[in-house]
Amino acid sequence: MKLTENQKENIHQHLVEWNELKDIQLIEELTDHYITSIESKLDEGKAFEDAKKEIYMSFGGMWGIKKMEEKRQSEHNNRVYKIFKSTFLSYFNSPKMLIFIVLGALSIFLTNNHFVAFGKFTAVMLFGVMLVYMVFINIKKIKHVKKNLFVTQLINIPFAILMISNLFSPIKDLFINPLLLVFIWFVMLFYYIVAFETIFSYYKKYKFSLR
Amino acid sequence: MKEPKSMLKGSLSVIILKLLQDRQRMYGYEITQKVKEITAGDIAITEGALYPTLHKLEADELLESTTEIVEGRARKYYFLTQKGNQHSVSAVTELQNFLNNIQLILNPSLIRN
Repeated sequence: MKLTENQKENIHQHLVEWNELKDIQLIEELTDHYITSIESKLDEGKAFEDAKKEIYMSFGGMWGIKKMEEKRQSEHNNRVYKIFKSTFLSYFNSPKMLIFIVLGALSIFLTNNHFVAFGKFTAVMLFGVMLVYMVFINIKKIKHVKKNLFVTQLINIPFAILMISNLFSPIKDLFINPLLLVFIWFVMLFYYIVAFETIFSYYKKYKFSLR
Repeated sequence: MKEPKSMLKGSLSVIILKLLQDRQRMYGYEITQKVKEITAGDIAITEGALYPTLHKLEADELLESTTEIVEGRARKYYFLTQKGNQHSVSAVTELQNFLNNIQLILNPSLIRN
């Protein structure tokens, strides 16, 4: 017996509101399971609520469902970390590092005024922070991801303050060695390039749906 | 007679791999029903054991998945990767050998003198 729209909505509420699932792919997979399984149980003469409860218990209740999401989350984090690590390391045993240094140096020297250049790059960098953050959030709308990303983005705050202040004041006013600033610039550029490459590789490999 | 859960635990991934080896692709509910059908209801895989195992196999790159729209909703189908295919052959053999040995322990009369 096919489920009514109300019953389907009830299942969605059960998963998203009562069990607080955040992982869209998991919600989709479990919704399909609930609907298919309940439909066959209704054919056996069971009531909707009884059938739903039976499946819920088979998942191990709220504890089981939440644990499943957490496990998926940590597997996802491991995959991202693995890709990030291999992308990072790939720069040290290929001509990529040389290309990166040349491009990084060019990006500084192509502009006559280093101060203005840094100001502009700062804006681009901050845009990059936001973009990396937004893309990751869209990959998987999971609370834990947001929390983890918030922590990883904390590292950007000192750099961001440094760079924003640099937007409004020339380098000589900052108590910082210009060479150090160039070094920070390179580190930041490297971090973002590796982060973007990681997201791109992850997308290519796992083809998640961006919503 | 129902199989105790603890006995099923270690062999669940092998069961999934073997089923997917014989069929091109399957979705979660289909797997639970197939196992029930083959064993005439003796082995019932709980959802709480099936999905984490499927996700683990996928994370280990033994399985891949594809989502299709069926009856207006997304359905996730799992299939073996090349690595999964190779792994499933050895995993099935290993389990078979293990079962043979258990058989010998339970029925010592089977040991040839």
